[in-house]
Amino acid sequence: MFFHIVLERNMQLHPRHFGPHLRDKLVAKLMKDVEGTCSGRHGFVVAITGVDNIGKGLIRDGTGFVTFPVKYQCVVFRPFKGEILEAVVTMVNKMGFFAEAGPVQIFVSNHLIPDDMEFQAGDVPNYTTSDGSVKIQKESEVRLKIIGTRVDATEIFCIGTIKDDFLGVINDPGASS
Amino acid sequence: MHRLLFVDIFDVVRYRLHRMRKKLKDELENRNTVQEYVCPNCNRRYTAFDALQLISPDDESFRCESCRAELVAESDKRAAEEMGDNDDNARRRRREKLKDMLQKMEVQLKPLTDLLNRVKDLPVPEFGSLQAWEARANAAGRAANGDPSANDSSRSSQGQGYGGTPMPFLGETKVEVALSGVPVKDEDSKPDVSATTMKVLPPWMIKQGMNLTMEQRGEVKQELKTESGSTANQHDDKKSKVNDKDDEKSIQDEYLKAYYAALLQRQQDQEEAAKRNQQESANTDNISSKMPRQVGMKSKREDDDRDDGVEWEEAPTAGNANKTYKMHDLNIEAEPEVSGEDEDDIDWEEG
Ligand SMILES: [Zn+2]
Repeated sequence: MFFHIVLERNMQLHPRHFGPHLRDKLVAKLMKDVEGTCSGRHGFVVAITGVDNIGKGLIRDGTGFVTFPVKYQCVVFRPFKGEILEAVVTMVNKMGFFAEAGPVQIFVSNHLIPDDMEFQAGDVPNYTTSDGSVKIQKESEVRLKIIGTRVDATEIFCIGTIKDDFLGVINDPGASS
Repeated sequence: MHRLLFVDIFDVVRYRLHRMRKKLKDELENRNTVQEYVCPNCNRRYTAFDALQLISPDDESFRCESCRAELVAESDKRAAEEMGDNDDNARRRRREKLKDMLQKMEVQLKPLTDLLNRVKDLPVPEFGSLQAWEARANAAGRAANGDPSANDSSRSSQGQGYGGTPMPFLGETKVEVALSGVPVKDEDSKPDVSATTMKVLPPWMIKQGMNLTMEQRGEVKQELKTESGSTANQHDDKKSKVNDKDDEKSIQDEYLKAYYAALLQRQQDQEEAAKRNQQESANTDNISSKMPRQVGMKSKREDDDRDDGVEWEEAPTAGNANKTYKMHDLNIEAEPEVSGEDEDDIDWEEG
C-alpha cells in the first residue's frame, strides 16, 4: 500500500557546501540518501515530494559537519499481510517462485501454488497446469496475496499465495509469444 | 423503529457462512501457513521467510546455510515419514478437530443454508427507506381522505421495485440507497416540477400551454407588490411589515385554495371527458388511432410544462392516470408550499 507521509531526518552537511545554495544542496543530498531506501517501519521510500522545513543547523564538535533536521514529505510503499499485489516473476524453482512488486520481493512456496500446477524443470523452469493452459515462468505477471511479511530494520520480505480466488497469472508471456 | 433490510441480511449471513467455511478449509489445507524447510543433515529448520538467503547460486535449489545440504519442505517430510514425533501428532489432532468442526458446521447449519438456498433466487421484498415508507403512509392517508387517486402506494412501490426481477442483490440495494439519499419527493420528478412551477416564473418561461395558473400567478404577484409597497409607505414602521406578510400569506392561501379548486374542477372535467372518449372509442369499434391521439394531445400539453414527466405518462391507464397524478402531486406539494411561503415573501420584498 502506498502512503504519503511526512518524515524527519537529520542531515549532515560538510561546511564546503555552505553558501547561497545550501538549501538546494541539502535537498539534493536528502533525495540521494533517502529515495529507494527501506525502513521496516515505513516501508520503501519511493519519492520525496516536498521539503516542509529545514531546522537550525548544529555544528558537531570536532568534525565541523553541521546537522540539519529536515522535515520532508514522501511517498512510501509498505506491503501488508492480506494485501493483494501484482508482481513479476523473477525466478522459478521446485520450491516455488520469487516475484517482485516494485522494490518488494515476494516468495510463493509451492504449497501455496494451486494443486493442479506442476513444476516443470528445464531451460525455463515453470509451473504449468495439466492441460497446459496456464503457465508461470520467469517474467510472468501474477496477482498474489501476501500472507506474511518479515520486517527488518532495513528490509521487508514477503511470502505470498496464489492459491485463492482470482489469484494467479494475469498475463503469460509464454502464451503470447 | 427496527427494520430488517432483507437484501443485506441475506448477503451478510451468506458471507459469514462463507468466511467460516473458508477459514476452516484454509487451515485444513495449510493455505495461509508459512512453509517450513528442514535440513535432512543437521535438522536445522528454516521458513519461507528465509527463502532469499537459501537459494544456492548454482542450481537455484534451497541449501542449508551451515552444511549446504539440500533442504526438504516440511510437509513432504511429514508425508514421507507419516508417523512422526509429538509435534506431528499434535498437528494431526488439530487437523482432526478442524475436520470435525467443519463437518459439524455443515450439519448444524443445514437448516439455515437450506433456507438461504430456497430464498436465493426469489426477489427480495423491498420496503424502501424509512422516509419512503413515511411518504407512502402519508400519501395513503391523504388518499383515504377523499383523494380519488389511491394509486400512490402502488406506484411508489413500483418505483422502488425496479428490481422486481430476481436476484440482483446489489441492484436492489442500489435503488434503496438512491431513495434514502434523495428526499422522497424527488422520487418521481413530478411533484418537484410542480413545486418549481408554483414558484415565480420569469416571463420568458411562461408558455401558452401553461394556461391560467401561471397567468394568475403573475397577477397575484404584482398585486402583492403594489400592496406591500403602499402599506409600507403609509405606516412606515416595522409593524406594518409584519402585517404585510400576514396579508400576503392570507392572499396566497386564498390563491392556493382557488388554484386547487380550479385544478380539481378541471381534473374532474378531464376525467369525464376521458371517460366519454373511452366510451366513444369503444363504441366506434376503437379506431386505433383515435384514442392514442387524444391522449397524446393532452399529455403533450403537459409535456410542455414538465419535460421529465414523459416516462410516467406512458402508464398503461393512459389519459386517466395522468390527471390523477397531477391532482395527487399537487396535494403532496400543498403543505411544503404553504410552509415555504415565508421565504418566497422575503424574496419578493427584496426584489
Ligand atoms: Zn544443514
